Amino acid sequence: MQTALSEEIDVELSLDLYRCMLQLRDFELKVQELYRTGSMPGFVHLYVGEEAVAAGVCASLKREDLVYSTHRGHGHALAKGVPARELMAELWGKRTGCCGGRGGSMHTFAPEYGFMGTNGIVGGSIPLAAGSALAAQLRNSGQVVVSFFGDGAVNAGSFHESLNLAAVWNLPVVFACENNLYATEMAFYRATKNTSVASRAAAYAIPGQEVDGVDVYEVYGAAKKAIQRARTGGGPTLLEFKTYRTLGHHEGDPGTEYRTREEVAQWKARCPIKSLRERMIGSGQANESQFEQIQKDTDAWLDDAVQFAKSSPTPDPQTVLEHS
Amino acid sequence: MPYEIVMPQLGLTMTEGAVNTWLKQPGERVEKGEMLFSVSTDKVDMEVESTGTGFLSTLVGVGQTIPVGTVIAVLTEQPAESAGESPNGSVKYPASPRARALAKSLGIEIGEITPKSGTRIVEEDVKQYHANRPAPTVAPISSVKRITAQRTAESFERAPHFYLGAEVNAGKLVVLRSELGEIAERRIGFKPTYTDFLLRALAMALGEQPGVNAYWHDRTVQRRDSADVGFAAQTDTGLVVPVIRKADGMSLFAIATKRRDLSERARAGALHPDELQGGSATLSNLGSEGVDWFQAILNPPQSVILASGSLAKRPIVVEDRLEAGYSLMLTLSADHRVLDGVAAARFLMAIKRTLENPQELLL
Amino acid sequence: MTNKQREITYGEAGVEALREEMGRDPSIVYIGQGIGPRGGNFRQTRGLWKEFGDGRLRDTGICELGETGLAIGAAMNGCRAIVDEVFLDFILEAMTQVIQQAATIHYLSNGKIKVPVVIRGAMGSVRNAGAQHAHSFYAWFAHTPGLKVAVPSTPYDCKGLLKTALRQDTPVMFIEHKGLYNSKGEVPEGEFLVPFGKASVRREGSDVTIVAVGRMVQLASEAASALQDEGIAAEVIDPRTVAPLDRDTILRSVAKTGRLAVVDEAPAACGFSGEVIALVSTHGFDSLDAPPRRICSLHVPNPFSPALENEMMPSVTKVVSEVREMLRG
Repeated sequence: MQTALSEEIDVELSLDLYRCMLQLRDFELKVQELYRTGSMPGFVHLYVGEEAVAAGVCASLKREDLVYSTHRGHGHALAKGVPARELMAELWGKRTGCCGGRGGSMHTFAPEYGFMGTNGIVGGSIPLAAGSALAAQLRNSGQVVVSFFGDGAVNAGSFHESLNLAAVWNLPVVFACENNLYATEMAFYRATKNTSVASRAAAYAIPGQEVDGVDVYEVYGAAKKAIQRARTGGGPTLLEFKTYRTLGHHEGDPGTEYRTREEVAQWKARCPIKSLRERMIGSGQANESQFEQIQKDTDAWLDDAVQFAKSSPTPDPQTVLEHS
Repeated sequence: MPYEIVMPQLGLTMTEGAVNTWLKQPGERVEKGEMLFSVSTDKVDMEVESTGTGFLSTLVGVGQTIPVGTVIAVLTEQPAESAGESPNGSVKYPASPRARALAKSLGIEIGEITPKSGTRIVEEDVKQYHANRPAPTVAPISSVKRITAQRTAESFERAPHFYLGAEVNAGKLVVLRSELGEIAERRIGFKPTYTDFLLRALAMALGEQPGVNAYWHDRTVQRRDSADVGFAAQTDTGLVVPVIRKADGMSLFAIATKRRDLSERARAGALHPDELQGGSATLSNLGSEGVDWFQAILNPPQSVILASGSLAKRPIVVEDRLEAGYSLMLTLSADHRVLDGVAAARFLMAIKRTLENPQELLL
Repeated sequence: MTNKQREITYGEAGVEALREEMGRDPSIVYIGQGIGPRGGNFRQTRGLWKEFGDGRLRDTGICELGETGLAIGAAMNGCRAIVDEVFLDFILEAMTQVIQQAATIHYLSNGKIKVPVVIRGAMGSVRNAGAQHAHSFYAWFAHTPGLKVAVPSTPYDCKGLLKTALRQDTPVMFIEHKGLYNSKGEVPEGEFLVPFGKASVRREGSDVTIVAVGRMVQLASEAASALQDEGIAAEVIDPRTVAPLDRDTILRSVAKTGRLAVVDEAPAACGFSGEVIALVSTHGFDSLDAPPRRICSLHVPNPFSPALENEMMPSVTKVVSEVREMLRG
């Protein structure tokens, strides 16, 4: 299976996926660093460990396709094409942020890149994604909508109602569940009897698939199919990406009271970025110096974003009522 | 709901009555059955029990004749916040914001109004009050009087006044004036008045004590270089203060001549505005009106004004004996921003000394 | 042909607004329960399904959260969406979508995302439907930044306000009254709009201002007629939209009359009535000649028995006697 997939994916695309995952990883680690210095307001939920999902899914989306995200959404935003400068500035509450500092980490919108928002409410964006798919269907716009959510959302009513309506109306939407096994501190097996999210697709009579969420090739392949199905009138798909956040729920949560160190270490060892690099070097598709160059590019890209955000002005308090 | 107390029917023929006394204070709690007020009718005075319980708001004043059955007080469950006797003894009612605003714009004291409802003063009550108010009698006022009103008010409000008094033994002054009479008639055609002597004394003292010839301006003391003395002159249109310039350099006769000229023209309304401007100090002499002594209001921006009472025979002490002799009461008002007590005292004493040794006035 | 204008019902007026707007704007989609072939529980979409079909009239099962969320999402991607909760009572299932998503996204996105969604529902008590079908919590929405709230009281306003609602770029709560659907009034055929934030003076008077919305406007007007016989001239103000609220018209009226009463089918606590009184107390303090009054539903869930519910709700008699007392001073 893996071999077959990797044959479909050429070297250029592999390196793009690698670059994307590295950017998502390094961006989050930089945010963690800045957050810990106290210079960043609010609170942040980092995407470290789950990069393969956003990178692998968004690789098959067009700019006009839409992504609805979650509270852990920086990765989705970057993978959908939101410039790092605008995202970093938004996290900093700066005027140059993609929402002018009104939204912050959990309410970041960049519709010009098809990024329809992170969302502070678990399950809150699933109906919105299905609704946007309804609009795409009605307007014949050819857009596909991806709804990202975590395992925490699948036991909420919005998941059920949205999948049901999307199914009955055959909407062009992909439901992308990032099952990182914990809803904050609640282990998925403690929250629900049926721990297969993918199997729930049967309840709505739509295709469902479980995917190894730390293997970017697997993610890419499954997502591509689902997106294609949606775009060609085949209706919604439920994808369950088995993944893991190697950091805490949010910055400040050690993430160790409810998980064993061994479990965290095991998942860390399955790092999607490291494993892709090793695989490509092992198969002779790429060499060390290419990865070093990508690292250098990523460092420069990130420095630029930080410098831009840091030096940007804060919003003018007099504008607080604008857009009200 | 407030409980209403009405003027009771205290006999077959009673149609009206007046509250003699309220036996409870407004705001006080009254229990049913307690004596609440006493009433006078055409026949009898008697005390009346409260028919209800609650906190008292009285609606009628003592002595007002009220028809039987009229609400004269209410008892409320909670004490009314603004109820209570106002200083003039009339009852105070709460008023609506609208009524207050209207009363303010009409210059009506809201506390003077009794509401028709007996509970709260509303706009209609203010309108009624205004309609029934006798038109205020406005005396026509001359511009001189208006200016005097404004300037005295301003002076009295702004300048911290203090007052010093001295009794002048005027025996020698009376003799001197009498002796000078004939020469004066010849030289200037009239006999100088005591005002002229006082002006001369005031001018001399100003010349000698330039610290007094100053005024307060913008947080500093400003000196004047010319000793100009003014005098208060009553005219038909009001009080004016003509000024004699550089009076410290003028003889008694010169001052007298100038004073007479200014007085006559002041009465005729023929003074030039310049002749009413400025001045270092003012003399106000009400002696001719029989006043023994008084305190004058400073004529701004001047820092002193000398008030002179009547020159009359009074008991005076001469070498441990009481004698009848002429005396004159002087009161100096001074601006404490310019002068301290001692400086003002020295100034007054200089005037007293020259008046008691009036030969100096001829030098 | 007479000069007298055509009279239609409140419900028909809403249908007419929808027909005109859906004909004018092909991006409009209507989502709700029983709004397709059935034509709406209150006949509020009668005939539209035949005209516009399944695509644009989306009947759903019973899933207010999903319906509402999908409508909002459709509005975020180029449609104008109406979601019909039918009974406003049922919107509670979808409140998180209304308050957390619809109301916030336009602002938080720095104005980048338009959210032209109309969330429709009928409030109030009618024919003793009982507590769970009789709520009047329209003011909750006016309390939430980011929502406009229209509360039509006449067929004319129902049509004109709904057409205006369908041309906004941000969410509108369109809250009808169940008891008004069959009320009749003059409504012009064809195009006209009723602006948001512009109150209607239903009746002029100089003694007291009565503010009311929805069905309470009718009740206030009846009370004003009764008061007229006693020589009390009441002015009845219908704000028509409570967000935005036409503050000027209310303040001007109280400046004239000096007295304010608010009649509200919702309870008084923390509600619209308190808001209007706060407005006048703050910005029209010197206009007041009497303490303002609230004539509202009592603070209990709507009881079923007509005898109890009539006691619980505002009535013409209650309005008349409260206003009469105000005038007495």
